[in-house]
This record gives sequence, structure tokens and C-alpha cells, in this order.
Amino acid sequence: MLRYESTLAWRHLIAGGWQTVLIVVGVAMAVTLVIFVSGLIYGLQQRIITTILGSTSQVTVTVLVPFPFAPKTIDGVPIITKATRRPRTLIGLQQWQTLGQELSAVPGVRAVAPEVTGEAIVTFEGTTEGAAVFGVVPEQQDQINHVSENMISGNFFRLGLDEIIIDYQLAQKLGVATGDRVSLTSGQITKTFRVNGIFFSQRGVGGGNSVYMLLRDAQALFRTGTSVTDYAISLTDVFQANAVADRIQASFQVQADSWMRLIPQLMSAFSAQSATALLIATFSLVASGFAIASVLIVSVLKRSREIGILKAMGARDRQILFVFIMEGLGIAIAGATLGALAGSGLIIAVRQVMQPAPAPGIAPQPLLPGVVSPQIILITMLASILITALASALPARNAAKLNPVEVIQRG
Amino acid sequence: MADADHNPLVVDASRVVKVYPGVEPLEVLHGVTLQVQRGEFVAVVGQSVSGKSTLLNLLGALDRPTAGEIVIAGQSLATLNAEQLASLRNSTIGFIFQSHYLLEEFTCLENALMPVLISKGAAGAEDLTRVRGLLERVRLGERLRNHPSAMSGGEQQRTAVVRALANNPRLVLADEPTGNLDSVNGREVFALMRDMNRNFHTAFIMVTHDERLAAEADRVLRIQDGKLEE
Repeated sequence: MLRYESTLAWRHLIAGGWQTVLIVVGVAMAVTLVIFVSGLIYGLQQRIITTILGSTSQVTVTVLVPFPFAPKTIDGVPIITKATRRPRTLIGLQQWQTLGQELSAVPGVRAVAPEVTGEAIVTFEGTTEGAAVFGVVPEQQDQINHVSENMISGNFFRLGLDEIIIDYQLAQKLGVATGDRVSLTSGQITKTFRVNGIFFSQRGVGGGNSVYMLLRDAQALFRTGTSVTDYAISLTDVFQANAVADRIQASFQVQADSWMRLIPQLMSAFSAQSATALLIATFSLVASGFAIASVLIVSVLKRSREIGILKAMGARDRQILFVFIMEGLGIAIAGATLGALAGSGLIIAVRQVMQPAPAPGIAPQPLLPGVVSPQIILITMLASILITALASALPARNAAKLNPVEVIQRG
Repeated sequence: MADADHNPLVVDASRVVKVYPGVEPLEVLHGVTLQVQRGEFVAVVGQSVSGKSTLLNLLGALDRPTAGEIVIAGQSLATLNAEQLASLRNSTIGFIFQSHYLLEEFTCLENALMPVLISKGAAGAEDLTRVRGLLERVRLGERLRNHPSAMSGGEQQRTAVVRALANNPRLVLADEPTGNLDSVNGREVFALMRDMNRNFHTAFIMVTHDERLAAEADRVLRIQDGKLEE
């Protein structure tokens, strides 16, 4: 029963000629803008996450030490004072191996890696630098921060005893190259290591001084015996960090720190970005909705006599309503499809512009890291079509309510 | 509907009053009574604002009377809701106006089929054959694919006449159907309506101020100051 209504809507659009083209382009531009801006912001967030979280764990598990006494509270909220501050303790061997398996089974956990972390002074030919030392199991650690993908020289997985791989920035400061021997000092202990490789960390601020060695070397350097200091965990969804940390804390007698709580500024920056994207999206789509509404209002006015005669010939209000809703939907679907193509194309085009390579051997990153997300595209298209349906509802209702007697006699 | 089909009265209006509300309510029709038989051709003549068009709108179920009863093809309009009125207009009544009111985006054939499209969504082979036959009969066989803008005034109005007959209505209401045409085309359109009236036994009510055309109707009704006289 819809055939003649759709034909009518289609013929109206064809008859609209340039006006139809312009309004479709207008909708397409709004959809393009939304997809481009959202894709860009989403991509930027992903880059920030990779940069900041890529080389660190998203949830860090340490052992919970019971308070020696109940902390002071104000209205039930514990007040942390120096006396109540928790000292960091070591996870004993027996405990950490079983804990590792249990943590892997927690929903939302993608990978788990034991770590012995500490600080050390690196000395090479009279130059000294501070370093953050990570004693790791390379295969497991690589699941957390993908060191192997960022090797400038050497091989992370072939890391042997008395060998280290060091950050490109640290290597530059010290002037060391692969094969050189450096000494690391922590407390009373000094050990000599051969530089097995140099890696590049995406991490900018606070990074650049990492050193990786085998777990056993770090245990010796920091005198932890057979224990580890913590577990690094990466997640299937980084934004679930709080939930996963809470889940871990509830299930095990451990302290689980979520990156989201450790870097709250980042979270609020992300929220601000997402809110901006949403605002831009809403305004663009609503603006295109208004454009469609105005075109349809004019279309209804122009065709009021035609509507009158159709109603005289027995067309139902509902049928007239459909004609104009479908006219609006036609514009929206054409515009949304064009906009989706243009938006995706634009993101792909912009991605071709590269930053200079950050370090030799490391692939350059796109200047604007937009992401073509099917989810964003789908939601944008649906939102645009929904807004159009709403925008065409009013003019369509006006058309359906036209009194044939009045419009025919006016002519 | 079997009853209605055998009912010789296509129009049975009694004591119809129409008042347009307003600050000063305007009573246009003061108790009009009118009966039209199946296949009858009735001409209604009168002054410009005598209420001719109002009467036609009421008989065409486009408007409701303030008082009185109108029965079209056995159905009392007062008992029907808006949907049912639309359905009645589509199946039982054809309209011809002073302007052709053809849809610009549709061809001559599609325009003529419009009442069929409204009721069925798409035209079946039978409808197509019948409407095409009607168009050929009014010498529009060569114009089927033309859009209204590519047709003369007479051709446009002939298309409008065929459109009014597309659903085989029992009643055609024509409001100054020749008003926009020169005398030659006007005569032709009138002859066509008369021809259809005789061939299909469709009742016609034609409002006109052309006394000579009116004289050729079966019956001439004069409307004056909202009252109808034979």
C-alpha cells in the first residue's frame, strides 16, 4: 500500500532538482563533520591511551598490608596520615605464581605479568643516569606493553641473564650502544650488564628512562629473593580499569590500583573531549534537521493544492503523512550515506599525513590519528535519520491536516 | 453495498444548511433539498457567491453540513468517520475542478490513474487497460507519457475528466469544469462528460455559469441566496 506514496515522495525529490541536491549535501556535510570530528577525537584518545598506558600496566596489583591499627576516620572516611600509610610489600613466590593464574581468570583481564620494579643508577664510562628498572618475564611483559614491537635494535625475547634492554632516550644520554657493558647500582649492590638492545617507548613525559632485565636479575639487584613487587595487568577495555581493580580487590587480599584513579586528570580530559564531540555532533545534526524541516515546510506549502486534490480523491491523512516523512527520510538516507563515505574518506586522507619518525627504525605515526569507527558511523547515521524523521514530522502533519476545501478553493 | 448498487438515488440531500462560523456567522445554504438519479446529468447555475461550490463540497463529502442529511449512494455521510469519508470519495465520487490540478511530476496516464493508485497502491492490468482506453477515447492516446506541462489546457482538463472516472464512480462532481477553457475546448470537455455520463450511467452534477451548457443537461437547478430552485 506504500507504493504510490513512495513514488510521490521520490518524484517530489527529483522535481526538487538542485534544491534536493543542496539539502542532501547539507545533511551529508553535517554527517561528515560528525564522523570526522568524532573519529579524530576517538583516535586521539586512543593514541593518548597507547602513549600513556601502553608502556605501563592499566591495573597494578600489590599486596595489601593490614593496617597496624584502625585508621582515624571523619564521618566514616579514613584519614590517611603518615602513620597509617601503607608500606609496599613484596609478593612471596608461592603466592605470586598462584595469584598470577587467578588474576588471568578475572573477567576483563587481557594479560598479566609479574614485575620486580625499582630504581637504579646506571653508569657508563663515567656518565650516570637514574633509571626505572623492570625485572620481567619478556613473553608475559610483552603482552602488557609491546616492547618487542618498539625495538630499535636487539631482541626482547632473547634477553638473557646479565643482559638489559634500555630506552632510546636513556641510551642517548649515556651514549651507549648495543653490546656495551653498563653497571647498575641499587643500594649496596652494583651489577654489570650487557646492553642487549635499545627500544623506543611511546611514552613521553615521565618515561624514557626504563630498563628491562630478567626477573631473576632484578630480584638479585633489589634483593627481593624469590618474590616480585607487583603484577602488571592489561585489560580488554582500558576504561573498565576501575571495575576490574575493584573486582580484584574484592576477590583477593591485594591492593589493585587502576590507572583511571592514578591519573584522574586524564579521565576528566577524556570526558571533556567526548562531551565536546557529542556537542558538535548534536548541534550539526540538529542544524541539518532544521534545514530538512524548512525545506519540507516549503515543499508542503508549494504542494498544498496537490495535497488537497489527493485528499479529495480519497487519500488518507496517514498516506499524506507518509509521503512527506518518506521525502525527509529519502534526504536523510542519501545525505547520511554520502556523509559516512565522505567522513571516512576524509579521515583516511588525513591519516596519510605523517609525523617525522620519532626514532630510527620506528615507523612514523600519522599526524592526526583519526579512526574510522563503524560504531561511530552507524550511530551518526541512525541519529541523523532519526532527527530527520522528527524534523519531517511537523511539516508532514501540517500536510496531512490540510483541509482540501480550503486549498482547492484558494486556487 | 448490494442495496446501494440497486438504489436509483445517487444523491439524496434533505434540508441541508451550511453556516460558516465566525464573528458574523455566514449562512450559505438555507435548507437545500436535492435528489439525483443514477445516470442523471444535473447542471447547477447561479451567481458567484450563491453557494454552488459549498453545495458541491458537501455532496462530495469534503465538508460536513451544519444541519440536514446527505446520503450518497445509500450511505448517510453523517454516520461515516474521516477515514470512511475518504474511502467513499475514492470509490464512489469523482471530482473535476475549474483548474485541472494534475500532479506535475506524474505523466498523463499516471495522473488519470491517481484514484486507483490511492486505493490500491499500484494499478493492476485491468485498471491500466480501462484507464488507457478512456484516455484513447478522449484523444489522449498519444499523450500517455506526457507530463501536464507538455499538454494544452484542453488536454489537461480531458485528463482530469478521465481521472474523475478512473475508479468507476457513481457520481461525478464538476465545479466550473470549462471555466478555464476557451469555448471550443470547453464544448469538447462538456461533450466528453456527457458522453461518459451516457455510456457509464455515471451521475454528474456540474456547477457552471454558462447557461448554454447548462441548457444541455437533463435538469437545471438554479441556486439563489442559498436556496435551490428547479
